[in-house]
Amino acid sequence: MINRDNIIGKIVYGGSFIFDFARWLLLAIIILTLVHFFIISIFLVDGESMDPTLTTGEFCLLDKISYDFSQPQRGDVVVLNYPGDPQHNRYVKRVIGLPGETVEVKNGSVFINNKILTENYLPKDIFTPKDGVWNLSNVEYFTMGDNRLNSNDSRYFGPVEKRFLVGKVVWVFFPHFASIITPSYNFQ
Amino acid sequence: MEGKKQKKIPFLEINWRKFVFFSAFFLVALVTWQLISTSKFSADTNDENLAKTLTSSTVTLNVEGNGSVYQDGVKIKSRISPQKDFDELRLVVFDKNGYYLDDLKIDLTLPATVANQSNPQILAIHGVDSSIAEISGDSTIVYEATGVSGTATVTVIAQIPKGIIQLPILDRLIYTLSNFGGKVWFIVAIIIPALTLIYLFLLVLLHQRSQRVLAPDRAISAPPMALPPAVVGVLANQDVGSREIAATLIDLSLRKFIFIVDRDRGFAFGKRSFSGVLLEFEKFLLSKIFRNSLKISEQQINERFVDHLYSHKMSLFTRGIYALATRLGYFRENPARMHRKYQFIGVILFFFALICFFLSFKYFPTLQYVSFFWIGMMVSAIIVIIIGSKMPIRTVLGRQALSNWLAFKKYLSDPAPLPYDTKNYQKFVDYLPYAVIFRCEALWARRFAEDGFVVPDWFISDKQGIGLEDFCLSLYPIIGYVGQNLATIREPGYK
Repeated sequence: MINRDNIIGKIVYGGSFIFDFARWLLLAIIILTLVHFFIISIFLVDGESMDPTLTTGEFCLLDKISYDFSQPQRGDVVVLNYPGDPQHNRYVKRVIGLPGETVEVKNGSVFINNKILTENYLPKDIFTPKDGVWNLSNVEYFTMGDNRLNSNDSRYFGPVEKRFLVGKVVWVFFPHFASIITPSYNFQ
Repeated sequence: MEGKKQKKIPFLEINWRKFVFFSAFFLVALVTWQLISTSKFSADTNDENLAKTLTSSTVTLNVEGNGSVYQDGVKIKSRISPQKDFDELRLVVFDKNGYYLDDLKIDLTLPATVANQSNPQILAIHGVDSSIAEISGDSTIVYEATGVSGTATVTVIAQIPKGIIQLPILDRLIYTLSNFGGKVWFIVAIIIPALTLIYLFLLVLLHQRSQRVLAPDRAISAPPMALPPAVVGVLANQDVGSREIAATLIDLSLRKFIFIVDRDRGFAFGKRSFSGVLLEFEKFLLSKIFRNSLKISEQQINERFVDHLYSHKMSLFTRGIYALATRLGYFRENPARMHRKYQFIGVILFFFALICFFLSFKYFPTLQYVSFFWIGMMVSAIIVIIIGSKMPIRTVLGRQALSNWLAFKKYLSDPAPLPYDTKNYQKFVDYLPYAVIFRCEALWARRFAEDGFVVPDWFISDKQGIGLEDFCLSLYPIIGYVGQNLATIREPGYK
């Protein structure tokens, strides 16, 4: 029989929860920083240049690692550092022209190597303004916003070198979920 | 006696003092980061400010041979940046200034007659009617934009052939480093800790070889000398850890200073009268657990246990053991001092690498992969702390004493069963602290038959008729748990 009167102290729980928590928190911050800079990141769409594919206030997931192993494809929605101010401004656009191609905007249509590009993700009969011809070097991409009437893109600031591409947009996850799939194209 | 009351968040059992400390710590870190992120250095002319206060419709830019750029005669922060095939000027000259300009003209003078090779471009967006870049002389380029709105951004670009600009060593170094791909830095991040590990491991090995502890050729069936188990632990491991604490608690129980109660709802430590002779470090341990209270509630004890980020009493406890072992002539220098030396190096290295890790993302955007290098440095720092403290510093006397104790360990871990005997069972509990120190408590218990075991009077359980196995299964987790928890607060959490 236990003489409970003898018991004058007891220990039930250990300490250092917060200390352990801080240690794991630091590790988590380091890992998240690495993930953010090298693998995936989250960004908020601000502006209407990619309407209707992406609208202001949508949270998207950006794949930063794919382009280390593969080349951007036509139709990829990408985040790019604006070549005029790469440290401060980032835009989300769609890749239209690939390295070595000739892109022409004429009479509201887009031509790739003199063939008209049909883009089924755009509203019907959309007009693409700002005529011009751009010959892309072997490191340059031509990007445009899906909202052709209201987008500052390669038509205005010229082709974008690969070094300015940050990554590929893969998902919209808030306020709704949508996967951003690279479309297939028809040339006429 | 009523202990001081501390509020707790009911679900998490979080101690408020620690919670406030770490909240404040992270707040300070966050504010510091924000300050660093947004700070503008007034001692240095900032080109962004110049761009925002541009009033003239004509801007003169001069590029010097060392890569410096002057805007209207004033040196600006922007510099020529090296690229693979050329050196590049990429400068924002008008950035949402808030007022309209009919015509914006930028005259750029290069340090050599290479204007026609410089592929000049002007990028003008967000409300510019037209823009053009033209070569106007052997070393002069004129950029012009018309109808520049207050929200516009105008950037001029020139690609200067290699060899014209003599960039400073730092710029060239950054460029060279930025050219190494992620794979290279990843390999570096693995190599650095690996080399640190190999180097320290070899160093420890070398010291161990020169200070070889003779392996005992026979087992001895009794402790070679009357030493507190914790001191034996320090002699064997050069460190005071959870096992040294656990062994001390069992030793104190054996010597009738405390008793242990095991119940379904938890366990308890009871205090008997401290009439016997206690060593200094043992007093600190008992004081940490019981303080001077005659009766303490479970809640108060629990709060006391988590009261500090680290416990000064536990620190004194470990120091006392180290000091005693050093006084006995077992070590060339106090092991605590040797630990501190490596901890100091490791902690400085770790935090230096941690700061560089975050700053490299902020201030060297082209050097992001260098962050792998800093990760490698942090891992190396941890290796220095862990392996460095294993450096053997035993004296000849210490090595001889350890050799004797290892002979006793041989006896404790001998798989041969001991004959059923009441005296042997007494031996079991008497030698248990040393078995805990030598990590062979399970082997030691296996030497004894299950039947006939009488639970020692310092272990009180509400279970009836418990055997040796039940005793071990009850005691080991309790002692291990308490020892582990006390060990984590013996120093300010460097591990």
